[in-house]
Amino acid sequence: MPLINRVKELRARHQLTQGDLAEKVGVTRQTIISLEKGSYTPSLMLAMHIARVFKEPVESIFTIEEESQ
Amino acid sequence: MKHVVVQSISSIVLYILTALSFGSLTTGIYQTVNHYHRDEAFIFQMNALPWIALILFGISWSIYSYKTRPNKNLSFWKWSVQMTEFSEVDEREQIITAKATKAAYVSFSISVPILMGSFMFYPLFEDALPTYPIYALASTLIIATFVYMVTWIRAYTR
Repeated sequence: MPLINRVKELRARHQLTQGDLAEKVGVTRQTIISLEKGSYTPSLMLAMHIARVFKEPVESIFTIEEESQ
Repeated sequence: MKHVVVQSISSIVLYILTALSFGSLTTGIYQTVNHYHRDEAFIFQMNALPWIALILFGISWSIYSYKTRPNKNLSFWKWSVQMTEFSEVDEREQIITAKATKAAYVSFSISVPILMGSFMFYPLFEDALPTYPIYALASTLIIATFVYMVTWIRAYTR
């Protein structure tokens, strides 16, 4: 069951570049790229850091594909 | 990714130079032992070129690797006991490094038994290639490092 996320959408809404978000959550830009592509599933810690940046609950940013359908 | 590629290739070059250096020393010992006569003066000769190349490459590689280390907080002593091709800047790189290390470990389980089998025939060509065990051992490290690098690149660019 793949994990889908709204990171790209939220990043655009908050006018953040991939580099900005990477710096805020303490990862590399390549990790944000992979995350947005859906090829990388983040750890719970990283997901919570991202949720804190966007001020949204984790489950509204990351959802299991089956749940969203 | 550039760091892992540069460090993996450098490690492979270092393993080749180390094998050539010990190979030249082994050839020197082999020839001295086989051609020594009691009534002659003891003469030991070997090709010093691989040793010079190894020392020069080793020093320049160490300086470059230390200056370009991903974790700048790491002291020289802690850095010197780590594998330089490891890059674990964030959680994704840690997972990729673990995956690449696992692949390199699996490569040992294939290359080592094959080389063990090849040692059966070593007595047949020992005189022609006395340094074979050195190159065989070096090849296991070279293969594992190459597998590590390829796996790392593939996982990183996914």
